[in-house]
Amino acid sequence: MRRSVSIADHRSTARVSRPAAGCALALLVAVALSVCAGAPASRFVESPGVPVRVELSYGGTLHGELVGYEDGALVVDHALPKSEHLEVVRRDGTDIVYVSGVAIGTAVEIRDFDVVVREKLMSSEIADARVKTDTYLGWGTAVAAVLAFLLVKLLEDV
Amino acid sequence: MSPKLVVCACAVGAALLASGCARDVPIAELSGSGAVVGVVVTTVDGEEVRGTLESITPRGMVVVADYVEGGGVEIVGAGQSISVLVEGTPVPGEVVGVERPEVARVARVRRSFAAGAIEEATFYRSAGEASLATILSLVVGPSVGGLLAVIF
Repeated sequence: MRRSVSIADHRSTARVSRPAAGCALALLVAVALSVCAGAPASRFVESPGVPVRVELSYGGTLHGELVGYEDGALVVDHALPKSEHLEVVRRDGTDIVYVSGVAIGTAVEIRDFDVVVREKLMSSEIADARVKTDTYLGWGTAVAAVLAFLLVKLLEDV
Repeated sequence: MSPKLVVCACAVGAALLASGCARDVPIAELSGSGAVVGVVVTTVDGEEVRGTLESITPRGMVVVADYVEGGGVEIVGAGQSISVLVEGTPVPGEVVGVERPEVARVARVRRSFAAGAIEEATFYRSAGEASLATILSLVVGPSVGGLLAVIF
């Protein structure tokens, strides 16, 4: 048997679900804060990598992470999208990354849509290198905001 | 102006403010820029130096290294004549300050390493900056999204 609900009932249902939405929001913040409480207390993070932008002397710009310095070269990790020009070949236990047949570095991680490449850049190859600092907002913040919006809306409708 | 518009304007303003903080600092001019990059340098002699990166140039690297008193590290002298000894051997470089935490004194020494003297180095992001970014992503993002959902 179908139950008819008046407009007034709908309004009261919406009013009742507001506290539920508030609880959902409070729960989200509590979970987020508990994750933050586990952040390391040392001066620097444990895993190497500093956001960097490198302009190459022969053109082009790399956005990635500066992880090290070896043999007078900067070691930069950056992601390259998978394409027919990109090939990863395993040699002596190391994954070598080739772009259009030219070896450019080693593969750190092979993901669904891209490959994280570790590349050594000599000073002669670098026109300008800049460390990115105070980068507090990213796509993660925007995605988290959208997910929270949808989650609270979903809970409101329950 | 309606309260909804005020909330939206505040959220957008906060996002713009936080994203406006981002800066690009040349790696040759990190000193005094406010950018804090941790570094661990291993020299060809096998010495391991931990500290804060000041610059990288084709000629080499300048690091402000931290030396914690005790365990073979001595901080001797005072004022302009202060120096740091490791196993009795003076540490090359300029002492730029001595901090006095509760446990032991920490001397900060500015050291230059020629490119050829560096076996390898690794770089680390400031924990404070990384945790603040995490807080903003994990707290501010969901809070703003959830708040907007409650309001609208």
